[in-house]
Amino acid sequence: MNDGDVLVGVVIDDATLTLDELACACGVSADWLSQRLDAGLLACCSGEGTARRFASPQLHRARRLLAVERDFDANQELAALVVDLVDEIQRLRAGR
Amino acid sequence: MRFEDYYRVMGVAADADAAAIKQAYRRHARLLHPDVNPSADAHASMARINEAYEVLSDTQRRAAYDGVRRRHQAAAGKHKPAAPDLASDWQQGFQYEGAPSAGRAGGEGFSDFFTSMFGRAAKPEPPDAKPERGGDEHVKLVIDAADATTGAVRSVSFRSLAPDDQGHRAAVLRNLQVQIPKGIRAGQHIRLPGQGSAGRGGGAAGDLYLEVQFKDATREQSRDVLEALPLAPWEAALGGDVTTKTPAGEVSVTVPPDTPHGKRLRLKGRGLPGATGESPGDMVLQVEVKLPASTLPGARAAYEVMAAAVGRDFHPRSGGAA
Repeated sequence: MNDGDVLVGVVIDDATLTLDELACACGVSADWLSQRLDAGLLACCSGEGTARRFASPQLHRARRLLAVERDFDANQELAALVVDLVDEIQRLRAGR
Repeated sequence: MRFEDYYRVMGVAADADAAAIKQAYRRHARLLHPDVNPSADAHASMARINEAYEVLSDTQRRAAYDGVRRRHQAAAGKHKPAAPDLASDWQQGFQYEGAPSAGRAGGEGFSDFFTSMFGRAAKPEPPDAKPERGGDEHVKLVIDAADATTGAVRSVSFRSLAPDDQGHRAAVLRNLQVQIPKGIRAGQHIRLPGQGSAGRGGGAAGDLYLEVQFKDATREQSRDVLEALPLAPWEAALGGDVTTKTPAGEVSVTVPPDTPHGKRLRLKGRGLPGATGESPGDMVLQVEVKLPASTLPGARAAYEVMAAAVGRDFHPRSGGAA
């Protein structure tokens, strides 16, 4: 395929990600995700156990959790709090 | 190619230890992170900080960079053209594996200086390399709401790792044409399988994830589309049918009498299309009453007539009416 061809992608809210695909997309291990899922800091959008599926909001949140944990050496609970607060700021700014 | 003084970018001394560099990075990240800093250049500033931190926080990269920096300063001191041979400099016993850290706080895109120095592996891939999947790449795709309303083809530029002619893995600039699906919302991701970094040893390429953002951030994740509806004072006061242009085309709307500035009129089902089984959003038209300038022919006389007729009973600074 040439870079000049028009590519048609998949909106991942329509075709969700498995745990391994989400881990791959975030550049983390599946264990890293499982720890945050078990702690309630990250949710799946459907399914249970190995059938858990994830969509755009979870991908976005997982990457932001990772960035805060790594950039500020934050533990996972603190990183989740920061991400929650940033979300809240954005909601308030948008007037929602 | 412009030399990047990463110490100056980070605001630290050249002999700063790792803790000082990390502290400086955190200070910049708090101030410049695009999530908390709404200024237009915050993203670019954060990208420069990220790039500097990528180099200065890694012992090997920092040592290679310090060598180039010393030669750059020596050349500048002798008034010679400051153009060290970056490629040969960093290849002297220095290996770099993998792309820059994924997901660092805000800002993708590394400078040509960084790519020249660190974007190419020192050794070609060995023929017996174990198959390994390539890394996924993430790019923010900023589009107009109209693109989401009607669908569009947009170009995306990003760097990913791919083997060059000599078998070295190098960061190459790619430009893809991507179909924007009708109805996409801000915050959603488009996944392009196999368009990320090349795999090793025959492994599959990673995927490319495009995170969609709208130029107008107020459009958020809803399927509703917010558009301005400019009205003349008499249209807002007397009401009636008006037509206006929107990303979805020209629409006709009935304006009720005495419609105030700022009021939102909702056209059901005229917003972004819904996913399968979901209803489309609404088009929300926010009224903006535009006053004709008094210099327009007849406008001053009309204002004077209105002032004489209703000025006694109209008090805009005390609730609008008498």
